[in-house]
Amino acid sequence: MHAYYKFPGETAEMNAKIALSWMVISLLVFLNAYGSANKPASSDNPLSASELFAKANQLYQQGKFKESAQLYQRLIAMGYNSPTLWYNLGNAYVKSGQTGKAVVAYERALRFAPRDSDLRENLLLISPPENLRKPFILLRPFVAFINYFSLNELFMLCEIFYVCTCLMLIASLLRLLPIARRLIKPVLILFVLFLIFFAVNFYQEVMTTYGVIVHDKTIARSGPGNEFTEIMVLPEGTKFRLLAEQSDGWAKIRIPDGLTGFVPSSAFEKI
Amino acid sequence: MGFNFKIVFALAGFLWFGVFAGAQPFTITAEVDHDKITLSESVKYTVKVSGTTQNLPAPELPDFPGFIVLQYLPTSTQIFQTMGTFEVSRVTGAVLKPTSVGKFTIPPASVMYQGKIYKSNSVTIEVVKESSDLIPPSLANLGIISASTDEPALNKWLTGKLFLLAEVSPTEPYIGQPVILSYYLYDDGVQIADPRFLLPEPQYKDFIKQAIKEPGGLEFTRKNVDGRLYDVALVQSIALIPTKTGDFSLDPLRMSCKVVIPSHLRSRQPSRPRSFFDDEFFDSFFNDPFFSSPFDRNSVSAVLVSQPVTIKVNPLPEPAPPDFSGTVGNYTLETSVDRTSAREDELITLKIKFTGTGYVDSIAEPKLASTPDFEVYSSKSKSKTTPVAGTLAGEKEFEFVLRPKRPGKLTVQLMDYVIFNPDKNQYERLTAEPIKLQIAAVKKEQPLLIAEAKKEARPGSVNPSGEQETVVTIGKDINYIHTGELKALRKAGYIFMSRAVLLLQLIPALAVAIAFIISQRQQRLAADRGLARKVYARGVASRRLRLAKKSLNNRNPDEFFAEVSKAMRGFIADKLNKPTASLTVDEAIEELQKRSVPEEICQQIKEILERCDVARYTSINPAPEEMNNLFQQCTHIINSLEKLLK
Repeated sequence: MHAYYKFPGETAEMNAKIALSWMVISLLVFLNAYGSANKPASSDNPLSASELFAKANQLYQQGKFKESAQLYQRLIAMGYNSPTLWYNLGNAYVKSGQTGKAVVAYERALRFAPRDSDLRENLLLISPPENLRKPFILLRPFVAFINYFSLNELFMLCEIFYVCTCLMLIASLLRLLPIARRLIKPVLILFVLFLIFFAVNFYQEVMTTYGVIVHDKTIARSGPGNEFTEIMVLPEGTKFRLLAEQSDGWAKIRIPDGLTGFVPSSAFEKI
Repeated sequence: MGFNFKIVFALAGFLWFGVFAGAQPFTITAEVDHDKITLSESVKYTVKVSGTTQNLPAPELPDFPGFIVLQYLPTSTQIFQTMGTFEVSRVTGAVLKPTSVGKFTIPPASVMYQGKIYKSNSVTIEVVKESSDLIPPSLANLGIISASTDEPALNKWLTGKLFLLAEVSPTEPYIGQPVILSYYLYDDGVQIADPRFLLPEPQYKDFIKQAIKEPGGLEFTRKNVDGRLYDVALVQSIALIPTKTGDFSLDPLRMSCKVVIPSHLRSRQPSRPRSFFDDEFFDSFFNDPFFSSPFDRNSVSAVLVSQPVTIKVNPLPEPAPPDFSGTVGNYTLETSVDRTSAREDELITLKIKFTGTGYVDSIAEPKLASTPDFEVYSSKSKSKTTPVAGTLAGEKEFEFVLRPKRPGKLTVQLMDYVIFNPDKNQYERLTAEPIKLQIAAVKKEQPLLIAEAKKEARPGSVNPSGEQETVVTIGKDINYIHTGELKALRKAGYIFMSRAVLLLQLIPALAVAIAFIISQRQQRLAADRGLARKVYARGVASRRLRLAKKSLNNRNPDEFFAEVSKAMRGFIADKLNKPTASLTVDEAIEELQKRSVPEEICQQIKEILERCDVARYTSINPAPEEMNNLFQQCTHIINSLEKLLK
């Protein structure tokens, strides 16, 4: 126990207030930044975007799926790349018989709306069985937990535990809150845990490139060229990991079964 | 006369070298135990290498024309010591059985030593016919070899009673046509036990071998051969598929077994040492099956060797058709598809099955007639072999995956498949009927209407007729689009990709660093009281001056002078780290002078403190302007001292 010599007037609490005010300011700035990242991309012509969206929905309703898909694509090109738009575009592709492109759209939507039940059901319905391969039984809870959150959500959770850890540290150093010292460890563990989850998800989504076959019965060969042996027939919509993309128009892929092969770059779309 | 010793030694050395270098360091001799034998007897051939060198090489046995090897003798080494010198000998050999009557010369055995080949003598053996014909004529023509033991009398008795017979069918096959080779054990009243295969195993070079009956338990059946009854058991059966043309002699199969010596031959065995227990009484006693097996005492080991077999493999007749597939056998062809009508985007499996006799594994893949209507993917095949009626039979199925390229009525045609049928000695052309397929176009507008006749029970719902209702799923489709504009017209992106957000991560860390610095300062001040007083002196003095100002405004001179005095004295005491109560004006001035405070300021301090004391302890009431001047002066001096006493 240290004996503090306290003077009236200028105290340690005052210093702590300054530090806390810094933290509050930083949080406000961060939240402002988050809000600005999610606001409409183009505010100069919001009416035309709204009209386009309404028109696309109307065309879908009328069964004009190809035209509807074109309008959704136009909106996406304008910068409105929300999960809802990708989902609607996926639906329009499914209805116009382009299963592969639909899988691409759904997968893109899933990155920002992982708990959207409509989206998951549609993806389950159109995906080839190869895409639905389950991970090793012991890893399933871990994978399910990670897939429950989007990458942004995992980042936010990391951020919350990071700030909490810092607050507990400050409170402990300045002896503002007696319980702070005891809370540091659990909060720090949670922060590290979510940081790991974030890192795993980040590796899967950002560092790894996935693709989807958009041409039905695409032949995968043992080498980059038509002269090589045919080793697989890939149905449209098969999701795979893109291992390498060559300049000669061929790409090396690995399907969820673990098999590798070469397919023409024109036969797939990256997610 | 000079005697040159050098020349004498050189000559002696030369002669010694010449003698020993030219001489053979060992002798090699070959011999047989009998040079005249009958067809039913066997002969023991031995080769002996003896010499004084310790590293004697093992002799290499020659070929034995007119004989087959019943058993190879193991190589033994013996060392003799005579008159201080060592003699080493190595002996090896084989037990031979004649295959035909005549005079046969066994070529010399050889030994390689230091790069040179040394040869033994050759041996001649005369084989004569049996005095009595004990083997049935039909078997004698096959050249069977009866079981052989170490007992000549027993060998004579065994002639025609116990032997291995090799049967080959056909003996003149075509290349690629399976040959069935079966080994039968013939037994006419000989008690045998413990049959075993002897090494070396037959090597069927230039043939593909496929087992039909693996060696195992022997099941005997009765067979009449020229009026004589034999117990016959199939020992082993294999299929041999010739890969080359020409004449081939197959290696014989060798077996050993225990043979019970018949009682009339036991007493005539001079080689068997008799003992107390060899008495007839004991014989009859111990031969009782109740006490022991007859094999325990009255049996000898016999060797069984199958007769030599030759196969002549014929080439296929010329000229072969240009589209001959290379398949040899008697086969039929059958084609089928898994569906005759399909959608344009569905795959169709075509199966081509060959059934018949022959080596089905060698059936080559059939070819489909080239068609622009289908894309043909590589096939897979599976085969199944079953031995039927002394030959190989089975089936082989090829699978092709077809992908239609267009809708409509399409036809799949298999190209003619040409085989060689050895049963008819001619080439055959197998043809299959064209397969007609109805391919429907894909309706792209409704790709996901998957009708399902799946019924799901919904408990609790009852229809008017009283029967429980069920939910019937009649179709499946994707979920409808989302129409919420607010959610749709937004921009999604990774927030952590923003540089500003990443920079903001520094702020909490910075706050922790500031808190750490503050905490360190607090700890330092807590540990050093003098430093703490010095640091906080200005703050404390300011507070007292504010109280003084308040008293001045309230026109309370006593309190004003008390606060000004406390502020000044307290500030100086804190800065000098001295107790406030005991610090006199003179002591304070003296300490300040030591710290190089200008004399003028010291005098002003003294004057202020004295004026405060006078005002506090006398009844004189100074004018407000004077009090205000004093306050200003005090503030100025405290500020000045703060700078001077840092």
